Amino acid sequence: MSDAKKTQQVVLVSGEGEQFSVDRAIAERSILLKNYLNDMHDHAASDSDSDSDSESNHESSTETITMPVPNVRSSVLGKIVEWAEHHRGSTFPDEDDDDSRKSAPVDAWDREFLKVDQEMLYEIILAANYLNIKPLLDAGCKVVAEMIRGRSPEEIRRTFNIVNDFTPEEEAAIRRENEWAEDR
Amino acid sequence: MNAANSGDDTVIEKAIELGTNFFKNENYQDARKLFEKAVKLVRSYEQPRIIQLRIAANLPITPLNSDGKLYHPRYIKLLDNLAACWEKVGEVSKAIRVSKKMIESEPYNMKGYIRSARLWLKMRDEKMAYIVYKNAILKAKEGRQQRNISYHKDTLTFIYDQRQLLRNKLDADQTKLKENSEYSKNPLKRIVIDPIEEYSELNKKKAKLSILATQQTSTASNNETKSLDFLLLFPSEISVKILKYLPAKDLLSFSTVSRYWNLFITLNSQLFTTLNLNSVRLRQITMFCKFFNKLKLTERDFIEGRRKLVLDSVKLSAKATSEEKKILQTFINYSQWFSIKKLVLSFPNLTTTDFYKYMKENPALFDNVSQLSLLSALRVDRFDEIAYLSLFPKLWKLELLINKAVEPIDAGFSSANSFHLPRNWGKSLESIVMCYKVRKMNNPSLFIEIVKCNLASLRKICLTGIEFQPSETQFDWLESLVTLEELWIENNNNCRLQYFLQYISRKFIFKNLLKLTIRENHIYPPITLATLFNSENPGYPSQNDTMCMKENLKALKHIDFMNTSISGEIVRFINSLLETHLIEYLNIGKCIKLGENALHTQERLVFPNLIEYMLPISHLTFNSDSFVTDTTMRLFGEQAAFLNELQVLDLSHNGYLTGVGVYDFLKAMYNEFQRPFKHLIVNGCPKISHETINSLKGNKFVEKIECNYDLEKWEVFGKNSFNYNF
Repeated sequence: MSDAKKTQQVVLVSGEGEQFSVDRAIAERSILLKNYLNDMHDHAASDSDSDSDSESNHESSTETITMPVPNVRSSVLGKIVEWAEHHRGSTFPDEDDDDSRKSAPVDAWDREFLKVDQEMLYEIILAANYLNIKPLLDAGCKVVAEMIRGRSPEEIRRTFNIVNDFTPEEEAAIRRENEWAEDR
Repeated sequence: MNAANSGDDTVIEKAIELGTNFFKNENYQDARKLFEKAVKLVRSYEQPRIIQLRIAANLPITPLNSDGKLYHPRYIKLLDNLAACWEKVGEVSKAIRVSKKMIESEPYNMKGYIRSARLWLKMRDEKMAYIVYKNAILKAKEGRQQRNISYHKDTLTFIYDQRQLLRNKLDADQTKLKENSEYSKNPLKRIVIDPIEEYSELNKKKAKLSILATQQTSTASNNETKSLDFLLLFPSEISVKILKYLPAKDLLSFSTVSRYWNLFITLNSQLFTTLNLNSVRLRQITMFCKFFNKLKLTERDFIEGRRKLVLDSVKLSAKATSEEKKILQTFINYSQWFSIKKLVLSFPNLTTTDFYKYMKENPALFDNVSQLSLLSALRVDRFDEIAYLSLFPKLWKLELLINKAVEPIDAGFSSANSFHLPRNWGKSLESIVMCYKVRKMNNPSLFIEIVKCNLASLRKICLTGIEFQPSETQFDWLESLVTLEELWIENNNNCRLQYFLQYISRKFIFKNLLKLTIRENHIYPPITLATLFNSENPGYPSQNDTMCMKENLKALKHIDFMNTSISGEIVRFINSLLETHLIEYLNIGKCIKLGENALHTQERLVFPNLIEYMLPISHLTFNSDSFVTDTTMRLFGEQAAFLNELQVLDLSHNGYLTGVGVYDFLKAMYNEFQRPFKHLIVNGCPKISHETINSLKGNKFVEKIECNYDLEKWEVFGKNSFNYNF
C-alpha cells in the first residue's frame, strides 16, 4: 500500500453515532474494515479493471472515508482505537502458525489494557471478533482463559453468576467419570 | 499447448491450493474471489479440452446432467469451496445458490447435496435440508442402478443417517414438550447420538439462558460488578477458542459447573486436541478411553472430512512400572476413534519389540502421526527391532531415545530375524534424533537400517550414544543424505572427527550443510594436515581433496568440534574452505590438541593467535577446561581488532580464569570499538568472584554477563546438547 493510503483518514462511527477519526493504517488492523475499504472503496474508484488482479492505485487519497460500525458502542470502539494506536508499529506472530500464537503469553501492555470489568472485556472480545482483529481477540480470549484456569467448578459459578442446575448425585457421578484427568 | 495436452491442469490445482490457504487463514474474501475466478476460467474451457482432462482424471465422459455439458474434473470442488467461502462471509443464500449449481451440473455427485443440506440447516430450515437429503438418496439409487456409479459407503451412510435424524427431528418437533421433559428427568443416561439435534438443543438452551442472564444483570445493574456467563454470551467459536487454552483436566472439572457447560464441553470434541497423559495409572487410562468414546464427531467434522477425532498431541507414560504394558495396550486398543499428529510415548521398561506387538493391533491409530518421540528399552537379542516404524508412514520428525537394554523374559525367544523397512519409508522424514543411553551395544544396525531408506527430505540428524564401527568407513552411511542441513554427532563410541574429515574430502555429499557438530568421547591422536592427507604428499591436500571438502562445506555457518583432537592448523584449513562471510557459531572448547603444529609455539595460548587467521565470528565458545587463563584473555584483547563481529563469547568452566582476565579483555574490546560487549558467558568459573561480576554488570564494558557457579558440565549425558528428561 502506498504511504498516501496509509495516512488517509477514516472516520469510524460507533453505534451511538460518535465519530472516531483514525489513519487508514489504524482502521486496517481490522481485517473486516480492511477488506471493506479495499473492496468497496478502491473498486468504486477504479471500477474499470475490476476483473484484473492489479491493485488499484490511482486514487485520490485526500478524501476521508466514513465507516459506520453500528454493532460497537462508543466506549468499546474508543478502547479498540486506543489498542490499535498503541500497536501501530507492532508485528504479531505469524497468523498461520497456530502453535506460536497459542503459546505466546499475553503482551504486558495488552494485559493492563484488558484490566476492565467483565462486561467491557466481553464487549471488546465480541467487537474484536466482529471486526476481525486477531491479535486483540487472541489476547482477550487468553485473559478469559486465565480467569478460569485451575479454578474449581464452584469458583467458576461464583465468578460468572452461574446457577448449579445439577443435583448433588448427578454432579458426583460426572466427577467420578472424569477422574482420569485429575491430578496425578 | 503442452499444458493442454498433459492431463492435469496446474493452473486450477494452484488456484485450489492458494484458495484453500486463504480459507485456512480465514481470509474468506480473497479465497472467494479466487474461487470465483477459477470457476469462470474452467467454464470457459472448450469441451474437447474438458474431455481430455476428464479422461486423464479417469472420469466418465458421457454427460449425465440435463444440459448435456461436461464439466472440468475440479469444477464441483471449486463450487464447493466457493460455497464454503460465501457461507463464511455470511452470504448463506448465495452459498445455497452455488450449491444448487453443483447439483445441477453433476446430479449424481453427492457433494452438492451435502453442501446444500448443510447450508439449509444453517438457515434453520430443517425441512429443506431433509428434502435435499431425500433427493440425494433418490439420485444415488438411480445412479447406482441405471448408470452404474459407485459411491463411497461412508458418504451414503452419512446421508441416510442425516435424513433419518432430520425425519425424527421433524416428527419430534410436534411432540417436543414430551421429549424435553424426558431429557431433564434423566440427563446422565442420555447418550449423545445426534450432533445436529444436540446443537439445536444447545442453541435453544443458550437462547433461553441468555435472556435469563440479561434479565439478571438488568435487575442487578445497581451492583458495581456484573458477572455474566461468557459461554452463553459468546458465539461458540469464541468460547471454543477460550476453552482451548485450558488443559483437559480443567475442562473436565468444568463439566460439572452446570448442565449447559457440561453439554458444551462434551459436544465440542475439538477442545481435546492436546492430551497430557503422563504418569497415569491403569484405572485412569480406562476411564479416559470411556470418556472419549462418549465424545462424538459433529456434522461439521464429517463435512470437513474428519472421520476421526484428530488429536494434535498425545503424551503417554505410566506411573508404575508394573502397569506399563497394560497401559500401552489399553490405550492402543481402545483408541479406535483417534488420529494423532504428535505422539510422545515414554515407556522406559518396554522394549521396541513390545511396541511392535501392541501397535500392530491398531495400526490405523498411527497412520497420520507426523512427529513421534519414543523412549523405550531394547532387547539385547533384538536391538535391530524397527518393525514398528513401518507403522508410521507419514513421519517427518522422529526421536528415538533408548533407555537401556534388557534381557528377554519371554521363554524361547527367537534370534533376531532381521526386518527391513520398506525402501520408500521415510520419504517425508526431515529430522531424526537417536539417543542411546546404553553403551556397549556393539551394533549400530538400528540407525543404519533407518538411513538405508530413501530419506529424500532429511534435513537434520542427531546421534548420540551409538557404537560406531572402529574403522575409516564409519561414515559411509552419510552417502545418500544429500539434503542434510544439520548434522549432530556427539558422545558416540569410536566416532572420530578424523574419519569424518577424510570421508568428506573424498566424497561429495552435502548440498547445503549449515550446521555441523562432531564431538568425540575419547582422546585420539591429533588431527593435523599430515594425518588427514597422508596418501601422496603427506601433509599437503591434493587439489581433489580440497575441492571436495570445499563443496561439502560451502554452506557451513555453524561449527562445533568441541572435545575433539583437532589441531589449530585444521581449524584454519576448514576456515579457508568456507564461502560464508561470517561464522555464526564456533565451538572449539576442550580441544586439547589445538596447539599441535601451531604457527606460534606458545602452547595452550594458541587460540587467540588463531583468530587473526579466521573469518569473522559471531558466537565463540571456548569452554570446559580449555586452558583459558588471564594471560589468554590479555592476548585475546590484543586481537580485539579482529573481533568486530563477535557478539557472544562463552568461556564457561575454565577453572583458572579470574576477574582480572575478564576485565582486561572487556576493556580492550571497549577501547577498540567504543561500545559495550554484547554477551559474555562465564558459567562455572569458580575464580571469578561475585563482586567482579556485579561491578561488571553495572558498567559500560558489557551489556549482558552470565555467571552461574553451579551449572553442570557439558559432559553430563544429555545436558546442554539435548534437553531430554530421561
